[in-house]
Order: sequence, then C-alpha cells, then structure tokens
Amino acid sequence: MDETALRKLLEGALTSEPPIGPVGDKVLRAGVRLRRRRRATLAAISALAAATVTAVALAAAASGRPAAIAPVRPTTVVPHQFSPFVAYAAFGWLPAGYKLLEGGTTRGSTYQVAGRPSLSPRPWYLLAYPAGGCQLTKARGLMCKAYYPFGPLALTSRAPDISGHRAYWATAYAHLPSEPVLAWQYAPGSWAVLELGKTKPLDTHWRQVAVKAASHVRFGVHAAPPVAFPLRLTGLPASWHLISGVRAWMPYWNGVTYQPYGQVLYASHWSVSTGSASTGPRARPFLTFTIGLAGQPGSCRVGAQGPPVHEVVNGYRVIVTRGPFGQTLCAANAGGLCVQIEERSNRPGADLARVDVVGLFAHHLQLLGTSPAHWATQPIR
Amino acid sequence: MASAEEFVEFAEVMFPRLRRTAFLLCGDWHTAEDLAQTALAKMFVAWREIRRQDGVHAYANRTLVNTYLAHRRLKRTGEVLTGWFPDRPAAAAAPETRMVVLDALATLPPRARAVVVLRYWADLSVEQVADVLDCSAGNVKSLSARALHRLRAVLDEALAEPGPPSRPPLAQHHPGSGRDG
Repeated sequence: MDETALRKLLEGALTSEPPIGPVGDKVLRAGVRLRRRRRATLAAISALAAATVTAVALAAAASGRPAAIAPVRPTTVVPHQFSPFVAYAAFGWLPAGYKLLEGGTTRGSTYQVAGRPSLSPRPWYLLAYPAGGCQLTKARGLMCKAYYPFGPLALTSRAPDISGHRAYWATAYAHLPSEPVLAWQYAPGSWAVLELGKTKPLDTHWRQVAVKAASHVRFGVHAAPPVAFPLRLTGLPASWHLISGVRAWMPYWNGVTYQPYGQVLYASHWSVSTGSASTGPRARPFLTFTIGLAGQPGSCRVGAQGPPVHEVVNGYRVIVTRGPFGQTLCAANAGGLCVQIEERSNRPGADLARVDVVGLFAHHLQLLGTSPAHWATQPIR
Repeated sequence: MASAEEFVEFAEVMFPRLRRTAFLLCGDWHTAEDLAQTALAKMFVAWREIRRQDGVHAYANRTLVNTYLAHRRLKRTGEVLTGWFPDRPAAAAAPETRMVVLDALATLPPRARAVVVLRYWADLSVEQVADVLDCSAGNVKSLSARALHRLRAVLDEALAEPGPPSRPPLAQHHPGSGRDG
C-alpha cells in the first residue's frame, strides 16, 4: 500500500458523512459563550489571587511575624520640608503594651515616640526626613542633616525590604553605646529611621517585630490627624511667629511637640519668636509654651529664674518667676489646661523678649478649653 | 461588527473540512462535529488577532488537532475502546473498506493518527504538520513512518482477505499505551 492508496482509503472513509446544518450562528454562539466563560475565569483567578495575597498577609500579621508579602504602597511625592502642623509619619502598628507617647514636627524632620507608659524598656523613636534630608555616605553610613549632631548612622547589614523599599540595620552614634536602628527609604530620596531603644543587638524576634512595625508606618499629610493647639495667641505684633526650624533637638527643640489625646494630637510644647529673624535655630528671642490637659497631672515646674510669686490673673492662680536669665509663668489649671510660659537666656539680660509674661497671659492668651472641637490649627492669630 | 460577520463567513467555509478532518481523527461524526465547533469557537475568541495572520487555515488545523488531543486526554480514563463500531445503517459504497480504514486508524496513537490524517488527507507538508503538532520535522517523519508501517500491516491483511474485517488487537491501543513523539 503506497501513499496514493492511503489517500484514497482515507477519502473513502468519509463516504458516510452526514449533512451539515447551519453552521455560522451555532459556531458564533459557541464562541461568544466560550469568550464569556474565559473572561469570567480570568476574573475569578484574579480575585482569587488577590484574596490569597491578602489572606497570606493577614495571616502573617495575625501571627505576629512580619508579613511575607508586605503591601507596596504607591510612591508618594515627599516634600523637601515638612509642615510644622502635620505629623508626616506615624506608627501604624506597635508591639503589645506599646502606645504612642509623644511626637514632634519640624520642617526638617518629624518623630514619634512609642513605648510602655513605664518607659521600661526604653521607648522607640520613629524619625522621618523629607526628600533630600538624608544621604548615604561612602563609608556605609546614612547622614541626616536634621539628625542628632552625632554623625551618621553606621549601616551594618541589609534588612528585609520595607514595603518594597530598601532597608538597613544600623547602629546610632559611634561614640555612644550602640543602639540598634532600622533605617529604610520610604520613598525615593526620603528616609525613615526606627530607633529600637536597646543597647544590645536585636535578636531574631525583635528584628521581626521591628520590620513589622516599620512596614506599618504611615507617611504623608494624612498619616495622622493634624496637630491642634488648645490655646491661641492674639493681638500680637506681626513679627511674632511659630518657630519651626530644620534642625531638631539641638541646641534646643525648635518645633512642635504633640501628645495623643483620644483620637487627636494636641500641641504640648512649642515656641514663638518675638522677632522677625529667621525661623531657624537662631530665631531668638523666643518664648516657649508647654500645655497640659485636664485629667493629667497639672503641676507647675517653677524655674530658677527668681523667687516664685503667686498671683491671680483672669481668675486663674498662677506662679510667676522673674530674673536676669528669663521669666516663667505657670497656671496649673486654667480652664482645664495647665499652661506654662518660659523664657530663658544663657547670659544675663541678653536675648530676652522684654515681654511681660503676666501681661501676655492676661491679654493675649486665648484658652480654648479641653474639647478638641474648639482647638485651633494655628497658634497665632 | 464586521469581524463577527467575517468570522461567520470563515466558519461556514471551514466547517465541513474541519469536521472531516476531525472524523478521521476520532472516527465518530458526532464527536467530529463537536470538535470542529469547539475549534472554531476557540478561534472566535482570538479572531481579531488570527484574522491578521496569513496562516488562518493552518491555525484552524492546529486548533482542531489540539482540541482533539485535549479531548483524548480528557476522555482517556473513561473511554473504553472496543475495537468495534456500533451498529449503524450501511453506507452506500464499500462499507467494509471504510470500516477497515477507521479500525486501522483507531489502532494508532493520537499524535500518529493526527500525522496520518494531516499528511495524507489534509495534504499538509511535513513542516506544516510539525508546526501544527508543535514538534520537529524529524519527529513527524518518524511518527509517519511508524504509523504507515502499522497501517500497512493492518490494512493489507484486512483488505487482502474476503469476509469480515479482522479486529485490531486491543492491547496495542489500550488507553495509556499510545505515548509517542
């Protein structure tokens, strides 16, 4: 049997072919059904994949381990300076027993402190810097210009990526007891640092906890509620302004410190410059305001400016001290607020505002009470 | 919806040939009709891309053969090969020859059967068959040679003898035994 014979045989096998009915519509309907089924299958697979990823992430989070698949947040545009009225970075998750204790904002950095109320072990410090605020150095360091003036962080090893961004284990302050730090780039050119409050190297568990906490940090102007001011200064010269420098803490804190109060943050410590000088660290002379709330211990720290004098101003009992190095006024309970105004100088008579703190309290201080609904978003009007 | 109309026109022209090819592959007109329809439905899903290509007919052959092979894989566990065709009305001409040919084809593994049908009925070249089956030309040639050798053995014996056609040995085409190329 050759190939020609085989062709004939195959042709002959088709002799019993039944008639063909209408084909076009039938095939078209079958094609439409198939296409619909494939699209539904694809959608189901996509939904299943998304649900699986979410379930894995949730399961890992629930088990206390860092999420194996951390959600990659969309890259945000980070400003080159922060607003002093916004907490640009905020903890989103903390270990059991830890809570937010305090935070602070300047134009050059923002921080949050979290720990146990007993402050033992030492609390965590979360710091975030605006775009361009930190640079990697050639000597495996991370230099943040608004950081403590103790030199760069020493990067020791790579850490697991945080939300898809590179991260490093590091130690802070070469000349101090080594404190473990997790530093990561939360957006291109923008870094965050989590100081872990320990003086010994972290074990595996605490490394996982740190990575989980870092991966849950929120960034942006909506990371936390805006900072609110329970009092407001009114009727002052236009040169008075809130101090918010770039450099934090040293030689003095020149930003807004806030504390949590329910679901809001209130400005608990901030400074006002009386001059038209820059808002940087040399923006002196200035007055510092420290605010406490009702329900919290309301006591006055009497400064060493001079002998304490008890007075009643606008119906509130206040303690006033005056001396060559400055002046203080403290009202332990002024409409539910504990208010302290302080001015200090390192040299007698120099760099002082020449402002009477009692007159300021009596005529220019508007107390807004303890209800956050009445608090102000700007401390000077 | 010009592309749908175009597809319907293509399907009307292509369906008879695809059904015949499918029949030679599977040996059953009902299954052949299902295979041809499924192959065309698959083509409809990708019609916008296919219609721009030159080898629409080759694409149709490939889709049909893949549908047939997938059908074979799906049916393998539940299919019982008897070697006998169910009773049916006698065809007009040479029913014995037709049944002998179909029986002989049934002895071949699916891919070897596809090679025979595509090479000697659809008149595709070795390269075109290799393209349809996604294998090398050498693989097609070896499959073809082995298939022809077996067909010759079965057909020569059956067609040389008068009387009832011989039955192919079941063991040679038992499910799972047809792994080839």
